[in-house]
Amino acid sequence: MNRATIPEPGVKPLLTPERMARILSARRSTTSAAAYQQVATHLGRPASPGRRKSSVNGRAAWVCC
Amino acid sequence: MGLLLRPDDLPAKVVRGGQEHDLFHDSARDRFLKVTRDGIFGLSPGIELALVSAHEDARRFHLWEATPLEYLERLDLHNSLVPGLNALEGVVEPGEGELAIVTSQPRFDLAPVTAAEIDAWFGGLGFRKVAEAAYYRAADNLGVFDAHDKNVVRAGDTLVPFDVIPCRPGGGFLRFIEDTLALGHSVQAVRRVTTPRK
Repeated sequence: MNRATIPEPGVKPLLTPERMARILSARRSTTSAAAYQQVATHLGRPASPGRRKSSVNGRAAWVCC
Repeated sequence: MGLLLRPDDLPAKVVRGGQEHDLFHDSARDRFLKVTRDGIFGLSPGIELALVSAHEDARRFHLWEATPLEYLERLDLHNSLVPGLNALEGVVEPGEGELAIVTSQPRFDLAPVTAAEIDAWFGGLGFRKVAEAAYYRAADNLGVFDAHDKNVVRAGDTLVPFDVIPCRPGGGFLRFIEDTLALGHSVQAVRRVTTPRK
């Protein structure tokens, strides 16, 4: 049989649904501002602005930074 | 909201995440929404052939720009590995004919992790390291790429790879990985981005 036609086995998850549920329920609550600060710290750089909403020809559009 | 989003459906201000996304935090759901940017839908691993002398291996490991379909398939496979991680929120035309895909992930407490800890964690799950931040498990033909310390967080006594590139390699790419591991070599990834950055 050609190798490409062999059905792929299923993948073994890295984490179980129960483990994920416990991880998410253990999170500390936070504000959006603190969440953005955590991202900046994690990435090792200030949280730079992304796209901003603008009006183009009378229609809402996102304008890249 | 339907799957076709309008800019009005999204907040006025977002921040730039990693290379691929703009981010905003939905405080009501405590999730980060991720919007692809610049028409780029992440990377997809593979090989290409280089012109080399007769005794050299012509195969080179590359991370190519992914198509939108490859991006969504990657997120689907990622969900098989980390249950409930990614949700498709919709697609949006930010303007000028650009298509962006909007997904979301739960917010994690971003506890940092070292490369050595990531190596050990994947090793404990039956993976072998094939390149820096890249692992392969033959038992289920699963590759996990781009698993560096910005894309993995600690959660108690385990890790959560929340922004890695999983794949099921096949054909020449699979043979390249198998040959590399059999020889005890590791490879260095070359990123290939062809879309001009704005």
